[in-house]
Amino acid sequence: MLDRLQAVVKEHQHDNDLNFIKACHGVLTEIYPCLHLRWVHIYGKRWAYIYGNSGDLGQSSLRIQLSQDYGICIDNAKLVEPVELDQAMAIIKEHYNGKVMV
Amino acid sequence: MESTAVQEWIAQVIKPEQNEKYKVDGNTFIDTAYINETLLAKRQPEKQEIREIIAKALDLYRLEPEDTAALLNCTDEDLWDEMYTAGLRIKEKVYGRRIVTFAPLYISNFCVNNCVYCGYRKSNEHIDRQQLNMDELRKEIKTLVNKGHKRLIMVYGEHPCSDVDYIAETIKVAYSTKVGNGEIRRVNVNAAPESIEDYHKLKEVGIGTFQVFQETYHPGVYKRLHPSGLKANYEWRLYSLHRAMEAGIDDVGIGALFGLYDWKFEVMGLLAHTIDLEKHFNGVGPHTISFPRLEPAVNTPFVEKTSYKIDDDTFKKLVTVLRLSVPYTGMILTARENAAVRQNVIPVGITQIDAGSNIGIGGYAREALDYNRQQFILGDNRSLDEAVRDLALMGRITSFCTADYRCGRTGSCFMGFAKEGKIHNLCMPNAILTFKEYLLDYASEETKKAGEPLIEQELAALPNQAVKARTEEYLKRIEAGERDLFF
Repeated sequence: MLDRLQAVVKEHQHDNDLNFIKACHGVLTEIYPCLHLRWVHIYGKRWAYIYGNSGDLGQSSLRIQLSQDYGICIDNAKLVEPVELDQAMAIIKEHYNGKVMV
Repeated sequence: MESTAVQEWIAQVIKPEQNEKYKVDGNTFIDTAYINETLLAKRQPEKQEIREIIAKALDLYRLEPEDTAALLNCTDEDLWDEMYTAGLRIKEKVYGRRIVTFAPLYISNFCVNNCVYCGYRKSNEHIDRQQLNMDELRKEIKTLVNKGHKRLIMVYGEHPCSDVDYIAETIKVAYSTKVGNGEIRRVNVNAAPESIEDYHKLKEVGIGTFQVFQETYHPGVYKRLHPSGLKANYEWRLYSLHRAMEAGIDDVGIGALFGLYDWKFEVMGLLAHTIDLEKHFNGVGPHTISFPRLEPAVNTPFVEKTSYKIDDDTFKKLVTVLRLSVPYTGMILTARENAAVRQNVIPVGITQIDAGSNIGIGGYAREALDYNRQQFILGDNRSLDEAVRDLALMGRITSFCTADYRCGRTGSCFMGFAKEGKIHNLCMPNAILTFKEYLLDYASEETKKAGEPLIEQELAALPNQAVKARTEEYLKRIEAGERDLFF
């Protein structure tokens, strides 16, 4: 399944930031339909909402910093195996590091 | 007359073209004739109509101007009692029984404006002018952190010396100053309206809410009361938060200064402002609404002369109407009001207060009241500890929570939760956790005694068992020394 995420990251690597996020969000929610993802722009302490879940609140929001500027909050991260989630996030982090995995 | 340097600065700051896209046929969203006509048309509302409007507000729908005008014109005290009760119910439905608490921190009182009601106006020679340097600012922050504060509203005069770069620098200092377990976790800002480019600079340093108060929404009155300076430009101020949101600052705070003009008109203005922000920003209106009342200031005779001052009963009514008109928005009641007024008005729907406030520049570190360095005179001089205790005795838990804006629950996301009445599912446990931190680290024995039973009570009242279990787990970890645990 992560192959699909890698393919989308590669396909959209030159998109603008919001389109890239929307593409990643689309594939992640396709792979994990129940996952509540919220993409954020990081400004110091402030993690400002960009896109994604704004309807269902989870018990605990897992915050993952993807780059200096972007992060993701997952309100129900327990639904995914931690190792698998780490792998998925690593693919997106690689993009932000300028080293898109092919 | 302004000096050439100040004139040049004002000309450089104001970019009127940035407002144009928000106007309709060259007109602003404040239509004075429409507001006056609506107030007139609804001057004798029927009892049934008022009850239907209350029901609409209880369902968390934002009211229309006609609804708000009807509430403002209600003269039946029994119906007002129903509105007070509704205000409390709405507040508890959306936000729960917690009150978010912050401290105001005045950074600079140099000002190019001449607002006739303000102690900081340029022409007031009785005011001691001061601007904090970064070392002085750190002292202020440390003093506030040592009292238990986690949230600030930093206030700046409108002057080239406190321009956007200075503001950004002070915010960085506020966030980076730590004392033991304590730190400032959210910095809100009340400052001059900025251009879109300058708002970007503030966004980059991670501000919380950006506040600009219109003071009065009536253009003619505004012009008379703001004769010169940056603030003389009504439209630059009116659209300041549109520009902020366009720049990506998605939590903004509006406000009016009650006592400058007719209170009903100002409430209608605040509602019009909310509606216009919602219209342009995908349903996202202001994060907070403030409604300070005009207070005395050193060498400011206007305050004694104005005929628009409102009494305590009217004040409670206007707060109630605002609560009903915009049910999902935070409402701030400041320490301008005395303790008795605050105790009386909090129950009709207040979500945030300041406490332990000192509004003199450098006043916290000096631990002194100094009227000659203040914009106005405070009504409530209780310490933070006393205010927290009094709230606890009223059955309200003090929240120092800053989790939402650190978890991406900002702007349209926050507003979505709030409009559905979901936000308190997280806010209440976060209030409990931050309250526990406060009791452990900063509270007097008396306040601990008042606060601990409240934690037990609110914990027991959490409806979701999984959230309750996790809150209990977090409380144990806080007791063991961990800090900053949140949902």
